[in-house]
Amino acid sequence: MAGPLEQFEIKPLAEISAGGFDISFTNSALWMVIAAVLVTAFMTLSMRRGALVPGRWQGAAEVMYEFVANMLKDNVGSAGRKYFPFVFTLFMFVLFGNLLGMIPHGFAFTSHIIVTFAMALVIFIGVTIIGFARHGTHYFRMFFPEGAPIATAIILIPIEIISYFSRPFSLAIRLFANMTVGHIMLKVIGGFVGLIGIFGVLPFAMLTGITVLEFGIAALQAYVYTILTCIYLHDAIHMH
Amino acid sequence: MLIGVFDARNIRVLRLDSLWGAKYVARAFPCVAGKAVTAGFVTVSEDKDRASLAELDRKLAAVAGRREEKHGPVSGGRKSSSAGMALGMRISAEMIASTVVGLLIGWGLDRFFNTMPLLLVLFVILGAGAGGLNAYRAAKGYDSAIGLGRAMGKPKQGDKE
Repeated sequence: MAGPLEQFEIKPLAEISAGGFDISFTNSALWMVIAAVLVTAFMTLSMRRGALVPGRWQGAAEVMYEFVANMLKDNVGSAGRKYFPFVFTLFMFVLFGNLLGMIPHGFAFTSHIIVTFAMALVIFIGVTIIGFARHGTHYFRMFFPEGAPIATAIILIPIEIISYFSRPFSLAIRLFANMTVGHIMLKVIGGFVGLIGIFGVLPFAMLTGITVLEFGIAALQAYVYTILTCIYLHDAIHMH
Repeated sequence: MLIGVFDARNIRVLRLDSLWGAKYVARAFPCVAGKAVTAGFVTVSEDKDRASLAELDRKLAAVAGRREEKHGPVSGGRKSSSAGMALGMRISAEMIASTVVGLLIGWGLDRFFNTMPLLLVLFVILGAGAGGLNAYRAAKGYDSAIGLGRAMGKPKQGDKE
């Protein structure tokens, strides 16, 4: 029986190194490619006919589109329209990454903190650039809450700066931790099923419930990741 | 008459929306003044079909209105439970992340100024403070997120333009 952490192991499928860096094509990269291909196929194939009255596949694609569009509209407003392609891509990629991890022998690339952190860093840097591009040096007012007495600046400004820089970390940690914990839990409880004979029915029943829960978490975490991106965009565009 | 919304680049109906009473527009971005999307009018059927469709529309709007009176806004119900759960997930990570960032900043500054434990201690405390502040803001909805205030059914603020 494999240990609960072995499922997260990165195995190189094709060894490539360039300029001293190991850029091997790994199983994690493979599943990212699968996710990207699946998302593209899902969106293009189901919207191919573009019927006035949507069929099942087109209906599903439209639900996804509207879900993200509404999220962006509710949280950012009309100014967020420009960033819809990015936010939608992000949502679909994270969602498919999480869900592909639920397939037996699948690999959840979102269970690696470096993947979630890289995505979070792109969001963080992008949002900061948008903020400075729209507001110039006025964007520094982000670091001091409006209406607070000026004497509190010495404490509040470091706190605000820390809370601003904590954004990519909290984005990355949340997604990574949820996916990792869920997969470990499934594996550990799955180990009990065979181990305790007839009483294995109990952990098996539990496992069934947890599997359903994990599907929910997979979708919910994609939602949380995206909605926080929307919130950060809102802050950059409207400054509170 | 039914109105669809066209994506200007690939002329194709993205959304057909006749069920929402008078709002004959895409539910996403109802009043966008941008150039990327132009609302187009699609005549779907002949006059007599149109009349029956209009009647159906009226009936649906009446039903939706009654439902809204009874159960509150249509979009509110199911959204709030998942938003509440999402909020819970947020708060825990918010506190950890702020403390970690405070620790990293303090450690970096200490190495730079050679004052080893001093700034580290200070910034961990500040980081924890920031974590608490962030969690509080997230819960209250002060960061314009769907905070607890909104998740619990407070009137929704519209676009903050």
